Amino acid sequence: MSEIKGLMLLFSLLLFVVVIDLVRRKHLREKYSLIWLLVPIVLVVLSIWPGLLEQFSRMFGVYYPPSLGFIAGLMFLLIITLMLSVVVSHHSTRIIALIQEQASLENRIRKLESDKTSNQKPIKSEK
Amino acid sequence: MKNKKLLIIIPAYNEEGAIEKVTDSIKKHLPMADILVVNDCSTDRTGEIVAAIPGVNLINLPINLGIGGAMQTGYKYAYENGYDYAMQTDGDGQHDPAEAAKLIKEIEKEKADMVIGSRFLEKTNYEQSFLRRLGIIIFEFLIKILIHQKVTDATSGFRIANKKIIKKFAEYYPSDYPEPEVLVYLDNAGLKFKEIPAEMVHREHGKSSITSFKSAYYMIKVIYSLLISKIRGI
Repeated sequence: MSEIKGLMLLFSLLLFVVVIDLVRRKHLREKYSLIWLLVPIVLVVLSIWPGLLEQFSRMFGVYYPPSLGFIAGLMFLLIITLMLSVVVSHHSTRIIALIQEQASLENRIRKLESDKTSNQKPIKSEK
Repeated sequence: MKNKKLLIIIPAYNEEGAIEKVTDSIKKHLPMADILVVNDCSTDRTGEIVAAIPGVNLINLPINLGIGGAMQTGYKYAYENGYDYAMQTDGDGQHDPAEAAKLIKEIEKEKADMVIGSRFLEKTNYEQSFLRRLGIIIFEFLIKILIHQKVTDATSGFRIANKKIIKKFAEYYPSDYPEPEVLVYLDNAGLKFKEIPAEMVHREHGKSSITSFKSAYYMIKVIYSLLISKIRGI
């Protein structure tokens, strides 16, 4: 086994363990972890069958197989960061709505409390 | 203004020096209106000062949302409390409440769903730099192409809206630099707006939210938002 192959397998194993552990400790949600588990699986498959990458390269007309690996990795990272930007945008929309709702509730509570303390008059119904 | 509920929305971020003057002036000129100050997580005493003003409603945002998020908070409040009209003004005294009466009169004619106070429809006292004027001309041109309506002061934050628009804004309101984008959003929804001339004074305290460093970004962001809003449809 070549050294690089051993290194790849070790790295894959490490990544796999780290991702699983993050999910276990609830630092990473299952939903977002699956795509990261895909990475070590693909790396392991490619290190066990090095012919696979060469076959794919020939299929796409790439002369230097590792460059196919680079471009695939780069595309994967681009897609994953785009997905994360979508998630972040979605979250900021939801956080804004939550903040507004919280502030509006705080306003209502303050009004109710001041109505109650000031001369015990009945709470004004809001229409 | 008989039997109609009007809410004045004042988004305020660090306006401790001006806010009380603004609310006092509104109370004096528009006694029939309810006033809501949306304190956008000010770091100064804006919240405390407003809380002590009798007859003024205060919403404290726990996190700074920027003008769009703060304004929408006001519109959501107006929607939930069944207001017929909501007027937005600046918290820094730039908009003269005496001028607000004109806006109210115009919206009551029910010919438009939103009325905008424009600094440039007639010659007013408002002064501005050449660059600012250039930006405004570009917006005017782009909006004219996108919605086939001439808008002389797309960035004016001096506006009054009816129930239909209050509902629309409670659903969605653009986040940063919202004023021009809102126009395309409303046009998409088939709602009408019109401009009337309004005098505005120079800000007494604080600074405009748009500094010279940010103005290039501002232009690009607004143009981009206008175009996106157009292709978004509704």
